[in-house]
Amino acid sequence: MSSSSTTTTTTRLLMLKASDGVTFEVEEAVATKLGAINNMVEEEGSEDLICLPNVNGKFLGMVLEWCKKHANNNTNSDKGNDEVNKWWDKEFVMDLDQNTLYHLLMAADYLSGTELVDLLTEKVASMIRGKKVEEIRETFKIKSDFLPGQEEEIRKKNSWAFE
Amino acid sequence: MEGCLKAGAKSLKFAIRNCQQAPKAKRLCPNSKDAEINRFVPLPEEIEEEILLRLPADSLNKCKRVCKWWFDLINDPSFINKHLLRATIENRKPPSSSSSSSFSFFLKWIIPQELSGEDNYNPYGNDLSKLVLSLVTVCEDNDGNDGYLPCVIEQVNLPPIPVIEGEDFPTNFSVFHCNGIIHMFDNVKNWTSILLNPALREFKLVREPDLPLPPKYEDVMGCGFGYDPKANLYKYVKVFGDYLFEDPVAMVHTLGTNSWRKIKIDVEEDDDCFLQPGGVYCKGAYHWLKTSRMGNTILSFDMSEEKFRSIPLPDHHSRRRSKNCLYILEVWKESVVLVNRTERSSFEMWVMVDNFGGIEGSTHWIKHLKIGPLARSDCPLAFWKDDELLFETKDGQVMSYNLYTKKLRKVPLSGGVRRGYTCATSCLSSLVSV
Repeated sequence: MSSSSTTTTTTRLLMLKASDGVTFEVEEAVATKLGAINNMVEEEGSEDLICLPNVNGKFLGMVLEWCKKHANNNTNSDKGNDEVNKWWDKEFVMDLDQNTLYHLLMAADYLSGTELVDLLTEKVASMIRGKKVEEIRETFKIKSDFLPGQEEEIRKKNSWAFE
Repeated sequence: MEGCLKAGAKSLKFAIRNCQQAPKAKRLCPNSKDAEINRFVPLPEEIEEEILLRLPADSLNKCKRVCKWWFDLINDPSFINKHLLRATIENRKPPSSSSSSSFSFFLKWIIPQELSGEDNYNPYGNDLSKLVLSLVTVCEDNDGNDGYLPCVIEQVNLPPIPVIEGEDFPTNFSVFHCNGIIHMFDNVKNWTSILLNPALREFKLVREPDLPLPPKYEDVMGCGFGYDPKANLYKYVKVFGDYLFEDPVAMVHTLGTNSWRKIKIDVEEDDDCFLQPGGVYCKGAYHWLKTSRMGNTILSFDMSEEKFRSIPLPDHHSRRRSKNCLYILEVWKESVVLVNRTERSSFEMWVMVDNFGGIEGSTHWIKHLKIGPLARSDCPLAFWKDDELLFETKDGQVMSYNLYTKKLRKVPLSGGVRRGYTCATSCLSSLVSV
């Protein structure tokens, strides 16, 4: 127990094991940013290996990378932290391809990483915002399943006054 | 007999809905394989919903046409409520904490014009072709420079409104807001109310059925529109009475039904009284400022209980003041506030505190702050955010004034506005149908 120093807090390490067997050793303070892991640690202690059968190693790694950045930024309690986090979040989601984005989103949701889920859902939402119907379908590869005429009917109901 | 009156220059393309509410949406997506194919990306339903909830109402209106699954989801009453709740919460957050929140307000204004002699003498002679309805969305991200409010201004064009024979068309609209729905009413012409959701481009006229009311009730004193949180319904209320406020009555209409009910207004008689046109909806009740020879009070209508009550004003404001004393009711941080002029260009703001949900006598007022002095200010219009108040200035500009930093920013309406005719209200982007 280091009571003498305030800078060297005891950092326990947790072992996380992904579905494909890849393991990660992470500081408890980092991993507990994820609600699901926080609960496990609180309920069962953190002696054992934590198995996460629903997350693949690639995406678990990315989720943990995000947690690490946020945990680090938050310990330097500067005013500019929010800004740093925001900037970093922007970088984090910028070049994600759709497939990665969805898997990451599911991983974050499974691990109850609320803030990360927020960030990623916002990213997907931004891909819809301001787009035309056809563009949205194209982006997300959605086929129209309306009967002929149905879509036109809805369009008529919602015709634009601003355009 | 109905004719058509063209309002605004552009083509008019609002969807006019009749009184029937759209049938409740059923999810058309059971467990069939077809449904699987057309589901949005390989994400669980809850996440997909979470994504769509982040979009503003106008985007979602487009999304309805993408696929059946989205159409059903976005029309689902529980989705509409979640979306509204989210918009309400986002609007309460400080701007820095949420990247996607944007604030909007709705403006009614008149394009300034060369006045001919006639116009000068007709106080209500604002020309309909000069009437502009603007939905202003503020983009605080790009910091405003040059003293302008950074914003996108969209013009809202009303569809042709049927003209009713023998009645003047309303032109001097006041505008009010509740949960994304704008209510427009001309207090002088007593005509009818217009409800519109600018995000959904939906529009509706509210006109009460021919009333079996005694002649003394021919005068409409005021009307209001609001939300009944207990029944999850929207209601419209119109107050009839005379200047003595002798046995006044109200007609209450539930949106989406054909139901109109007559309700007695159980408050004391009065003398030389009238309701100020600018009422407000706040937390399940509608409030009007009632001025009379006996004094000033607030007349309040509980949307769920469908009952009226009187609420006294702060002590020294209860007495009738000179006509120049300007009073405005507004909503600020989910409370009713009274803004009144103290000097030529200074205002004070009182916050109504009601801890006991409308029990008679449970209300009191707290003087919150002094606003101004504002060099060019003329008339406060509305809060579009908790710390930003819109003003119409003496030289025909609409300005936004920050209560704390005292920064003044101009709303970029080219050519300015005709003084004395501008109305404003903050406005949410919601999926609530009229």
